[in-house]
Amino acid sequence: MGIVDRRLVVITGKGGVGRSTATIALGLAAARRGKRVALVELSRQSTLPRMLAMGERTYEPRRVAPGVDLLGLSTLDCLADFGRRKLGLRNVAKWFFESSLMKGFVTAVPGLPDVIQLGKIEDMITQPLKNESAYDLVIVDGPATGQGLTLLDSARAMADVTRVGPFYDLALRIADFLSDPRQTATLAVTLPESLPVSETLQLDQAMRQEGHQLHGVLLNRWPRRHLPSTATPDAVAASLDAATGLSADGAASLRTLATRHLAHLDAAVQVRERLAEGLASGLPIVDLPLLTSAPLGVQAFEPLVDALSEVP
Amino acid sequence: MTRVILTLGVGGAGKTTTSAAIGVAEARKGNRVVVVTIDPARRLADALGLKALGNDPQRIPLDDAAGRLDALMLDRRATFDEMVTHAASSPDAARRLMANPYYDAVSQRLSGGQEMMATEKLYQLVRSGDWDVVVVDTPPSQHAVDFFRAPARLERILDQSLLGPLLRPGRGLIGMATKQVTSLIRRLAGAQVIDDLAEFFSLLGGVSDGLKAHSRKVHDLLSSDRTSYYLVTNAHAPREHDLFAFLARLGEQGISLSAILINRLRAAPAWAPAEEAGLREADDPILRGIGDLAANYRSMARHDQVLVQRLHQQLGDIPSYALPDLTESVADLDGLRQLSEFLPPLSGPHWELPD
Repeated sequence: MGIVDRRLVVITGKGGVGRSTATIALGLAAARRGKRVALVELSRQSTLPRMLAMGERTYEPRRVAPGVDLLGLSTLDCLADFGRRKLGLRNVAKWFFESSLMKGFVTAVPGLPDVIQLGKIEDMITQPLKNESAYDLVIVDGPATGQGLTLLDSARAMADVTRVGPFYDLALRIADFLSDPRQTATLAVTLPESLPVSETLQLDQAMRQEGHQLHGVLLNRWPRRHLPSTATPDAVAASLDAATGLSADGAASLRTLATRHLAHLDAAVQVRERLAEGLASGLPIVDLPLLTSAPLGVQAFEPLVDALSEVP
Repeated sequence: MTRVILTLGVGGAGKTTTSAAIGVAEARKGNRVVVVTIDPARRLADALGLKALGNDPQRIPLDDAAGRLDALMLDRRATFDEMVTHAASSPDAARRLMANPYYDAVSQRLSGGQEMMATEKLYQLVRSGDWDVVVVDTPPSQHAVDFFRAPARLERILDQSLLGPLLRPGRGLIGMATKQVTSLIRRLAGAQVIDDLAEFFSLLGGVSDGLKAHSRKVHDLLSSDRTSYYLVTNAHAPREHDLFAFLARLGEQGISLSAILINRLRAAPAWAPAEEAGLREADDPILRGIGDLAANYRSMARHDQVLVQRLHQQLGDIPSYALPDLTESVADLDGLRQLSEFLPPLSGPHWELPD
């Protein structure tokens, strides 16, 4: 079954590899295939809305593009939803959930923010209320690798410590949902560089050990080739020797630039091969092209959305 | 006699690699150095050519160094155990705390717990007197500011005043509003959760004096001039908004940086714009390609220059150092040696942790 045919996709990867960029691009690509998509940010940073030129995050869904909404899930808002839905606390005032005692409680119970946010996501998918939008697919801009694994495990851990009660029931439901490969897929974002790829391979291994699995890898910032395929280091040197109007210094520094460019491209290809060999067999790897500047607004994501239209 | 160097920066800045290179540079100057990574990923071990790092310092083979280099990767649970064992009034008190169902979850998963344990590890390393320099690789931006708040945060949690009405009902006077919130939380969480938490925090209370003493010393150490802060950034990292928001928050915490280390900075092009323009009109497709590549490089180098100017505008007159793009080679010790050659001279007064 296709990755975007599932109900939930968790995007993970190390810091700085472009998880948020990939989240947005995948959402736009899924909408092109007719899906109704929600992009969800868990952190307090408003990274997704800023990249889309939409200011700060909001708990209420906002329209990004046809078929694509954006939400930022604050823990206390999610907890208030949980109270209303599960315990029928319809008339509890908002300030109850924003009191310092409530904040202290949420901070003091480890893993609770994760489970409450995941509970909200599961509700959005499986039982939207009449006044809420229904989505085919929710894409979560997950925390960095290491912490990402914690997100997947947090439900099980919460069930272990709570043992009984509403949080226990919630945690069990989420654990089932997250570990069901027909419902949930996890994609890792990485870069065509040595350390990020090593880390992705470690993540793949660690996830399999924990009984989870990766469903694909997005290789972000794939370098654009500026030189024709006939350009080898020797051919570059010969062309520059034959060129007119170049100073000796200029020619030398341009030669270094072009040679490094070729080496950089070779290294990217090699590291991609290492990734393909090391991953569980048959796992799709999608190359996302390097953008010339930081994306701002939906249009800027087009080249990535095009690349993702091939995602299996 | 120990100095502390903290590397700060947003995700993807190259902090882990740069921290390792600082460790190599310091060891080559004859210092006894330990590098602590609290990045949950195993990248330092990778860069240092070790399969896995543990919670205790592990020697890195640096044959040409006058000093020595060790590295460790923070293990939250193990550090929490060490801290509790050390601070508990008796071995029995420590055992009972560790047996509580919340102990495991709190030691592994409490938000900000990693930063707290990193400060505890820092305390242990400085306290041992075994090191001239401790290099700490902090977690990426969102959490790095938590690192400085960790000591105060730990104290707040230990004080329990925030949770008092919830965990110790019936004690002291509480208002009607607090009563209502308490009853709401009990309904949300269930009685069992509250009872287990109350027991956990009561047991934790038994070790809190010891923990508070450590966290105050770390706070003093972090705010003394014996601790240097290095901003590590990456000219290629696209999310500059995050970087500047992070710097603003550092400013609010009163942290002043000793240096800015910029990875992958692109130097100004050594060829003339006219040469570049000529190539783009050449007949040879390879030359046209080089022209295209050169123009692209020029605009990137211009971008980097603007970034450096903005950094100096925000941070004032702090020395900044460009580190070369050794992307592919800094995957092993030789790469770290090369990178360490580009680091600024790191010298500073020595400092001893007061008892």
